[in-house]
Amino acid sequence: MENKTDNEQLLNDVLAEASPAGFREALLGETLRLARRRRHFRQTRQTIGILGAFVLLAILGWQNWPMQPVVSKPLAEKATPENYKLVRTQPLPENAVITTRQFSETQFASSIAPVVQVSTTGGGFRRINDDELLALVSGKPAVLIRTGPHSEELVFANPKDQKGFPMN
Amino acid sequence: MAYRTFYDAYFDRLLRYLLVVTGGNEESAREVLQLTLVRVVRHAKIFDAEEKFWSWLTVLARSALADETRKRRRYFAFLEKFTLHADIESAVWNDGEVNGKLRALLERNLKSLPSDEQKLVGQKYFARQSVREIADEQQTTEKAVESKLSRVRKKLKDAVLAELNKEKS
Repeated sequence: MENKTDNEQLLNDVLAEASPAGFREALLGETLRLARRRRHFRQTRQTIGILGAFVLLAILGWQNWPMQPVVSKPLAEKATPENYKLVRTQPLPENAVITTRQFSETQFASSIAPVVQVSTTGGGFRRINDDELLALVSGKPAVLIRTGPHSEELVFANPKDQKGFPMN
Repeated sequence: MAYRTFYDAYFDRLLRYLLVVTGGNEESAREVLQLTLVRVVRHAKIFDAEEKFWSWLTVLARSALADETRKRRRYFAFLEKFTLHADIESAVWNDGEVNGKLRALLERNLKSLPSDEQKLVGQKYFARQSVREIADEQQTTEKAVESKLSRVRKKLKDAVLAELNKEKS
């Protein structure tokens, strides 16, 4: 065991002999430098990734954020006047709509009494003169009084006859 | 901090593994080691057992070696289909095999050293003498002992890597 340990030391020294000066330390330094650079690169990449995610979220949030009225109002005022009036409609609720429908025949009511149509025909009269007039009232005492050049008045002596009497 | 702990624990182990896998090609082993450590940083994950972690490390190392080999051989893509597959298949070493092979090569080459160099290595690594004690014993300076030890270790290393290379080819 002792011999093995001695051999080990000898082997180490032999293999380390005539190595480039500081090879071991130089290699360690180079590897550590590389490790630090990789760690720095990894950290930078992570930071950039996080920042990128924040920027992306900010852009998405900004795009989806509702526009402020303060901003939109001036824009609306500057808009060119429209030559039409936009009317927006919306359907009425069902209970507000009135509809009609045709009645069935049994629901109709009509009168069955015959209607008599009365009509008059013109031209069935003639002008009578004073004598003929007096002849018509011959049974009643009456006088014909001329009240003007073209007007006369029939006056009955009996006031009852003034209201009318049956003709024969 | 955790990475430094890992680095201290696995640097030598991975380098040894790659030295064996690359057949003693030290330059290639270093490059692949660097690629492997970079991949560890990139794909580090949690394992519930050390064996699984080491197994994962060796997979990373082999894939890094395959990529490195592919890069080097991109002008010979047709040949690569045959050779790369063979390389990677033969590269599946476990930790024990790697250490056993390296120790065996080390011991073999240690025995082939001149006696004074064998003695010096014995004093330093088996008798656990300090450089000062060795210098006093040999009536020389510590710097001279350090220099000689360094030359011996370099000689051993070259011999071990050469044998690895020879075995692979």
